Amino acid sequence: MSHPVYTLLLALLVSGAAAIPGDRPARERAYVGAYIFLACVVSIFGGGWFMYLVHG
Amino acid sequence: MKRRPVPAAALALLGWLLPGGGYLLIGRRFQFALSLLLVSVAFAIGIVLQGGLLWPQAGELQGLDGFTTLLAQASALMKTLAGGPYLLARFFDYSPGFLDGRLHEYGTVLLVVAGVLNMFALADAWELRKAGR
Repeated sequence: MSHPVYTLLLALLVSGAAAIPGDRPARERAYVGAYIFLACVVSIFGGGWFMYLVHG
Repeated sequence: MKRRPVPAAALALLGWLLPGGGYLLIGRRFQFALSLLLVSVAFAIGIVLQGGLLWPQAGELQGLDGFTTLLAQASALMKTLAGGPYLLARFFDYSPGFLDGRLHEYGTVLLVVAGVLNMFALADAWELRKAGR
């Protein structure tokens, strides 16, 4: 399994775990899950570029 | 008619044995299904990637400092918290040891994640039960 695919899998697991807890409507749950997943993807992408710019 | 409260021991036991089982006991089927899916997927991919499942033996921990030893034992404990999937894997004699797990780190991390996710689900079901929701 390549590193990016593995990272996305972990992002999916984290966002799923964030969406599950609490007593809230399904819509809000979906919103939280999608938000966390997108935040993870943006962080991975941003972090990747940052590392590239720092290390070349 | 008011629902009888779920016994704490039953919730803890089922919540551990069946990933997300605590939610099932308090009647939250969607959360149960999602927890079961996440824990099972994490554990199954961890097994496919040959993550280490066994408790680290004394010989395998030789030369490690105290903190690293503690981390190794904590991660082994977290894997057991995945409950049913962990017991199934042990039953079918899936047993890469601690050192194998270090070589297949991706898989080992996923096995730990499965345990952590199951604990999250159990803790949340516990809280919801206490709040009577």
